[in-house]
Amino acid sequence: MKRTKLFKLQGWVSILLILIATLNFALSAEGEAEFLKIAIAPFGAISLLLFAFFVYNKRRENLNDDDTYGTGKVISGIGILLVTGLVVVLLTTFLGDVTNTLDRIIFSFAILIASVFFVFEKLRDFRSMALLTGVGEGITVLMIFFR
Amino acid sequence: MNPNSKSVALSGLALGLIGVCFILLLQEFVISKKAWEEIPRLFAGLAIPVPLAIFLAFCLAQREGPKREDPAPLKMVALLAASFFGTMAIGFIGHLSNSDISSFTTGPIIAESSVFSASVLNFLFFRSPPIAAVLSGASTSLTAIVIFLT
Repeated sequence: MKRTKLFKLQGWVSILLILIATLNFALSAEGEAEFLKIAIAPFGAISLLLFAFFVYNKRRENLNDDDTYGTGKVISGIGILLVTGLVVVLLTTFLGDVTNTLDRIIFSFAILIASVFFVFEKLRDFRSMALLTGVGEGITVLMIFFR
Repeated sequence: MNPNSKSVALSGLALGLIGVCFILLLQEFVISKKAWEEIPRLFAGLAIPVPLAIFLAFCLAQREGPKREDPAPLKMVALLAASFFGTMAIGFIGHLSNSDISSFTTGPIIAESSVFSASVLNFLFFRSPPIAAVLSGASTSLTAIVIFLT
């Protein structure tokens, strides 16, 4: 099992789960939205992503197969995972207005996808692996229990 | 047959059985309920242990090679029966308490897919017979709960 391959798999799994959550939320959206707003919604995320790629143009990669992760490091990773999942769930449920209509759903989930793609593309180490896991877990918990 | 290949055969057999139970559960859900609106939730319930399993595989990437352990059939059967009745008791309590998580949509599917991915992890990294026995007992018990209680 190569760590680089597992990291890539985790990144694509997280992005796929966010896309499915977006589909689920969009199918059950209540309010009406104009077509222009829906068309313009993902561009905020795209400009943010272009800015981030412009500033951080080097990839930091630290995924050796020879390293062994001790118990303390794994527990700290699980802590990062729980905090990230909690932040995702809290942001999209208790902010209320974020997921009312279709354009707001597309805007917020596009920003989430953009940040996940940035972490997946530029920062490859143990902490960002825990962060991607947290986003995937949080989005599935959100999809099952809060909608 | 040395104990190494025997443990490999046992883990593979448990994996196959859990897979068969899993497919039957899916078929039961989709055909009998005809709940097409619930398909995204079903998919989320299937996918909930997957990122965690990939993370654990990432952490365990260095550890490899099965434990050379004698399977000891009587102990395995005892573990399997204990796991079977324990899961049955938990499921019965959940069924009596009538909460949201014990409904047919979420609870058994989440538990079944967690058992499945734990079994895959066991097959890839540990290959220890006691874990396989506990997992297959839990899987069989979950299927029995779905068939008889709901």
